[in-house]
Amino acid sequence: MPFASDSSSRVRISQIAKVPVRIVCTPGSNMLACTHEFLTAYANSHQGPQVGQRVSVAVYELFENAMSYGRISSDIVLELVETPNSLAVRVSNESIPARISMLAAHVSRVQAGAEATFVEEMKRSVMGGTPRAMLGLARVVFEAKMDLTLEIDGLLVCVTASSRVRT
Amino acid sequence: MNALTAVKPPKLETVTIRVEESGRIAFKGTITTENPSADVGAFMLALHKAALADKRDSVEIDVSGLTFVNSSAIRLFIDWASWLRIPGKPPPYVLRICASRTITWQKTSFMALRSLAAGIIQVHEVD
Repeated sequence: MPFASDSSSRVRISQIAKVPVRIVCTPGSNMLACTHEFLTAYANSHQGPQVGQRVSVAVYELFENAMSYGRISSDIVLELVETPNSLAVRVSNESIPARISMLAAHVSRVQAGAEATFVEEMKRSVMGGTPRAMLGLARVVFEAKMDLTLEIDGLLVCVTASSRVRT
Repeated sequence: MNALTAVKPPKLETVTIRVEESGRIAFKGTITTENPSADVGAFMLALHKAALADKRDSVEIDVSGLTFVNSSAIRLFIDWASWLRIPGKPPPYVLRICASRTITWQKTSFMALRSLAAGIIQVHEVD
């Protein structure tokens, strides 16, 4: 499976058997597009196109959030975790307290009602409101049909999108 | 040649855009750039202005070949709907979208957009 690596971005890839795929990269390394392409292809080949679409959304939106709102000095760790009947996309990185609070509020809102949040974010934009980052998180739950969880340990945040898959 | 068919699509790495002689615009590939408004969005605005100049009743876009877009790209379609929204007046033209029923971002995004922009957006689903 092709994966364009850029030595200047310090990307390390390790795959342990079928579980998990783990990618570590630095913010600003411009690795979003090719990482997304790689993991989409991986999920398509290992889980089929329907699951691949869902993983594709989760990988892109969670990874982009980490790149946009994480600390510039902190690596971002993206993991694809497979078990016989579940699949998870997990993104970990450090951030600043204000952004962590904002993320927690966003995740709570999406967990409380993903479809309503998705439609409301769309509505704000139609009516001329300022687009917000919440649309991406709402996509993970409403469009990709994955459960979203947030773990915070000091300045370290870990966002996980998970789903049961048929074996 | 009319104004719409004269609009030149941008040359992009992951998405190909074709303006057909009928004026139908077909997208194929993915849109994952950080700021798609700079190129795809600017192209859509040019199409909108050209459609107004041509006094078209409708503009048809085929996105059934767009397998993945990021949230910033979804907002481009929202932007297009907002250009057509004139309080108290009918839209200058209807935006007809040919979408795939097997691609989830299209099902969920256009379902929501259709309900928010009734009379502005029409969605036709294909396999």
